[in-house]
Amino acid sequence: MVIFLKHVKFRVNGDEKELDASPTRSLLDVLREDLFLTGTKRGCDGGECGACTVIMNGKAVNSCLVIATELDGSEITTIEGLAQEGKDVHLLQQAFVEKGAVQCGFCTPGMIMTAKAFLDLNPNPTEEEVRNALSGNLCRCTGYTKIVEAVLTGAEEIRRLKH
Amino acid sequence: MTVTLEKETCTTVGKRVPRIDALEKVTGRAIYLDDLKFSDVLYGKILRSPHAHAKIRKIDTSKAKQVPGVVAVVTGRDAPFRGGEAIRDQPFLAIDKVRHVGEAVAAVAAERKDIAARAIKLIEVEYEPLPAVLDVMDAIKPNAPLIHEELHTYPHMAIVTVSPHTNICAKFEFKQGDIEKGFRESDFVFEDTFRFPTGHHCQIEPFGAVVQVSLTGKITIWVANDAPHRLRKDLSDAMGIPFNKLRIISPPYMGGGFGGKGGLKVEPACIALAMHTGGRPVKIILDRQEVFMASLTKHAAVGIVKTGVKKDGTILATHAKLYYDTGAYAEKGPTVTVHGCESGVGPYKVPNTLVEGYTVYTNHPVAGALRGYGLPQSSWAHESMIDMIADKLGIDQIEMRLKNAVEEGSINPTRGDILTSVGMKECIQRAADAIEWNKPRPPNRGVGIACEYKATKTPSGSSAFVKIEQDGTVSVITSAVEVGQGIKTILAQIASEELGIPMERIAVTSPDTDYTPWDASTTASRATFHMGNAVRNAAKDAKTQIFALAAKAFEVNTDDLEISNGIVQVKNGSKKMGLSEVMKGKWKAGLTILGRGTYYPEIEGTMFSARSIFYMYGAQAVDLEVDRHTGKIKVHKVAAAHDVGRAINPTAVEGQIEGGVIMGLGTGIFEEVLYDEKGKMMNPNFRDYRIPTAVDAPKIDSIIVEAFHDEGPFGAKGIGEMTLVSTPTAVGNAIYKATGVRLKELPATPERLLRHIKQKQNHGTSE
Amino acid sequence: MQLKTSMELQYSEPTTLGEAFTTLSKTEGAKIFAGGTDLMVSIREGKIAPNHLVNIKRIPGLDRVEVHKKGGLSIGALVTVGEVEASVAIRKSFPMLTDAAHELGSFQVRNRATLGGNLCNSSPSADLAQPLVALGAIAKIVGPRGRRLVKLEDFFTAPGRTVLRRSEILAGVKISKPPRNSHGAFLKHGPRQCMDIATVNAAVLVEMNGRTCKQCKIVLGAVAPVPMRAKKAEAEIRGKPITDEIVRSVAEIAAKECVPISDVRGSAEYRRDIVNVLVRRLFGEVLGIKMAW
Repeated sequence: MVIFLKHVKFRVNGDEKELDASPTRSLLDVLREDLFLTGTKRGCDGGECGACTVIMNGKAVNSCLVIATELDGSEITTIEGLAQEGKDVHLLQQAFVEKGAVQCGFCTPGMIMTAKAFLDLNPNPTEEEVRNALSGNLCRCTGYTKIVEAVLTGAEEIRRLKH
Repeated sequence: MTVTLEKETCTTVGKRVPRIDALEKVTGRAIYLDDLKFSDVLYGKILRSPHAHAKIRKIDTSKAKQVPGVVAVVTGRDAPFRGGEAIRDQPFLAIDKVRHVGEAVAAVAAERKDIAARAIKLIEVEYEPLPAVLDVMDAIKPNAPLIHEELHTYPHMAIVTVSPHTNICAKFEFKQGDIEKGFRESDFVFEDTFRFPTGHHCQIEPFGAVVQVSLTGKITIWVANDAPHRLRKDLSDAMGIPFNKLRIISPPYMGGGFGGKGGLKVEPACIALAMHTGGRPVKIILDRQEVFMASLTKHAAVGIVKTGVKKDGTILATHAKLYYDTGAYAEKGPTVTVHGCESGVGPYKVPNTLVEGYTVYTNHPVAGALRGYGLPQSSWAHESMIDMIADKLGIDQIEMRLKNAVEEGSINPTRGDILTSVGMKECIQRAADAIEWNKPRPPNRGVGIACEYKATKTPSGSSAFVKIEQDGTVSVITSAVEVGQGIKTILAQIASEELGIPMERIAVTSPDTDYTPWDASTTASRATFHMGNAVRNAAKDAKTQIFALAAKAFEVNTDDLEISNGIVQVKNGSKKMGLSEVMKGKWKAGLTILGRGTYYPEIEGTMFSARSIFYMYGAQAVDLEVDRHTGKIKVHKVAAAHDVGRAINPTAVEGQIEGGVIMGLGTGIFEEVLYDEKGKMMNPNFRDYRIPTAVDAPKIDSIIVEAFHDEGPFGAKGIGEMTLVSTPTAVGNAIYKATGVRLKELPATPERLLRHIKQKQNHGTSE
Repeated sequence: MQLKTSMELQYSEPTTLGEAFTTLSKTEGAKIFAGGTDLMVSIREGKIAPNHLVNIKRIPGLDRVEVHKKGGLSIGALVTVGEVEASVAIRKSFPMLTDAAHELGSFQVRNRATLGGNLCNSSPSADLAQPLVALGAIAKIVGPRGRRLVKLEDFFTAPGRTVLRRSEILAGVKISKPPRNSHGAFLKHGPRQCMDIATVNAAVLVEMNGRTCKQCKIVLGAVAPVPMRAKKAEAEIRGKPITDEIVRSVAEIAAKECVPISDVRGSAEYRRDIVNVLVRRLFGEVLGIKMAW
């Protein structure tokens, strides 16, 4: 049996990582099982639920659909790496706590990472734009109302900080 | 509306306290089952039946056993146990026959997931297909193929009456007054049949379990199960082993339950494997397709409702027949049927009632507990009927409901008990006001309303400990499961309020049946009430012990003492001491104060045959618009008013309402399970089983109504299940107002609705 | 999660087209891997079992949107759907393509899915296919034997199949500037507000002469094995003034002309009804008015 492995070097939350990657494994597998970063969740392994969302090279992606061998040179941010420097939490995470936007919490990391990547592109969105950006993150607990409030509040706080 | 209790002024209870688990969850530090790491673990994979109904002639596992890295291969004979809370009808792994597509037939444990996946493909099973029964009304026909030939031999709950040699595994009846007399006295009698679809929970976290069997035979199970003590009992009953040989450990958090993660799901196959791996733990996590096909579904149901009314809209008699499709095994089917029947007439003062409920086997995947527990189904029937009657009589739907709705002191139309803490009318009125019921709507747009009441599981018990550490911090020791509803926060609030100790100093444990005391389950919307009372009692007990110490130290009577902000003080403020000082005063080298609390309502009767200790009331109104040409629905707004007794945490209650409403809209509009003619699920994925996304979610007005319950903790009752019960029916009623189409089945997908719209245009009726 | 891939799955990352051609020619069972949003799902669901993934994302020159001097543009196969959605150049000249990109999948999927992947996956409901066919796009194909151009309309041969030979790669599409007074629109129908694979989608490009339709293309998706031109419907309106009546007739002809199947997303009958509705609404959009019924 000829097993293919490619040595890849990439950064996760600012840390250098390297491993011998197999094309049978996804970025999600690597994060959870090789790097023990279990904050990113596995919900469907099919790019539908968004629970596995991370930021890769500046864009929100479903990590279940990224394969391990293509990681060379990539820059990945996961929920564990979101807090601003010197702080415990990012303003977005703070907003989720304050607005009651967290129930079972399983969709939460993916939801926050999508919101972060989206706000980086569109710092002053309308409610409709926020809902659209989150359409690939399924939540069964909250009905989305408080999540949308949290993202809009977080966006406001981020804008305020920048001024 | 009458309030029987003065609202106690509270410092923590009733406040929008941030959830105590939120920070962990938003930073990705919260631990769920699949995040736990185990040394020496093996990965399990289950082989599943491709047939809906078939005899198993032969299973050959020899090839699978030879695959390098495979440590155990098991079939039904390796773990010949049957489990099931209501009826013990479900084998750990199929033994002589399979009864649904996806049923577990064999399992493999291997060093790696891919090895296990490869090995199960090498297991050879010889089936002899049998005719399958795929509709609940076919299943009750006299010559229907029998799904459980041995039904009469299964042990079952006392309230269950099986019908041997049929597919009816349970039947129930609620009767009040004289139904025939009621119909005779009616000016009009209406009858109709309604169909409610099956559906999925769609918890974002898939199912799983890790099991380890030690060399002493103790079975340890790590599982996100909503009732660890019940699971322990179910397994003890199924396997014939004592409780102290079974340990259920909950991971700190569950990624959504909605009733699905209860009973025996992945545990049986995992146990079967772990019994054959020489002590190595076995982990099984289902993939999403397996979750859809083989975890749990919602009961599809048929409801036939006959209602007699006076011409002024007073309801005199209701006869409801409800048939619940419980799939291949009973699971919670019988008790789902009980609850569905109990609410089968609706929250109305109907003097003559008869509700007959049937729990019926079919060769569908197993249906069981799903939030609402039989009510969305029975509500769809009677709440659609109320609207149809109102329409025929020319009475407004709100007026008709308010006219008949139960009030404080009314008699429960099914069980006959006297209802107290009844917020029904306020819910109806406030939902109607919030949706602007009387505002004229443009064509193709309409508002609909539906309301309901629901019992909880009574009598059932909860115990808790409140442990006060030497430094004055507190642990609440409880078997209540944090499924996402916020129970850990609620219990911390209750403990904080009762003890007078700030929330920051209070931690709440997760269940571990070796340590945390009995709780019936975190289901039936019972946790705030039952566990809340247990925690409050435990806090009171702890306080009593503290006061005994402090009274000596301050030389006052215990009655003169209070705790405020964690400081023990005499009520006039003359003397104070910190908690830890009080304890160290007596026990310098350290000791713990353990408060014990139990709550078990004193009610005659057994679980599901007794009246409920509390009833929840809710009304929801939906404002929607229909695109007549495509059948597509846009929901503009939902107003949901719920009587929770007392909102311990209003933000958490709103969260439950908002989440339930969206789930209910999914049931009403988008979510459809499609089976092929052989009983195989055709859309076991999120692509084609569509749950609402953020874009589909409309504006929601969450209205909290408080009809205090004098036995609830600070007046609280419950909320969780009510919030999706009325939504699908409110949607159906709104569709009628918008288009004149009366749906008798759901979901109102664009295709289904368009078909009815066209039929109505062509034939004048949408039937 | 069960991986349906063999543990022997091979992988390569060619940095030139030549390397890619060599690998694809040599290896039967090799599959091109770009965004992976369709490929990985198909592999996991057991629909395909490639033995070699050829990741073409490192090949330069395939990820650009280039504006032509004469006003048309070229879109490289590796341009992501998100980049199509965000492209100012595309929005300026071909807003219906922007709309289609916006409707595809989710924010996360659009960040990875590529134009080339959406087209080569050849699903009858591929959201980018309909507007591109309506715009008369040309597929630029490269292979070991050189380059060739194929009308995108002829690119799709069956669900999941295209004219690409085993070692060929779709390099991109080029779209010429449509004639003056051309207006296009795209609509997608699914049960939810978004995130759905289309039950039906459709695009229309109309070249106007006053109130008369000089030329028109109507492209329907998910109602035939491949994206289809509703040519009979087009013929009905060509050269005629656009009125409610004519549009109604065009829509009816389109509904009859298509050949939908019944599947998990809808019955054939329903799909025909939706074609009827979408075609009417597309003309309404193109003319900037609401069509009467």
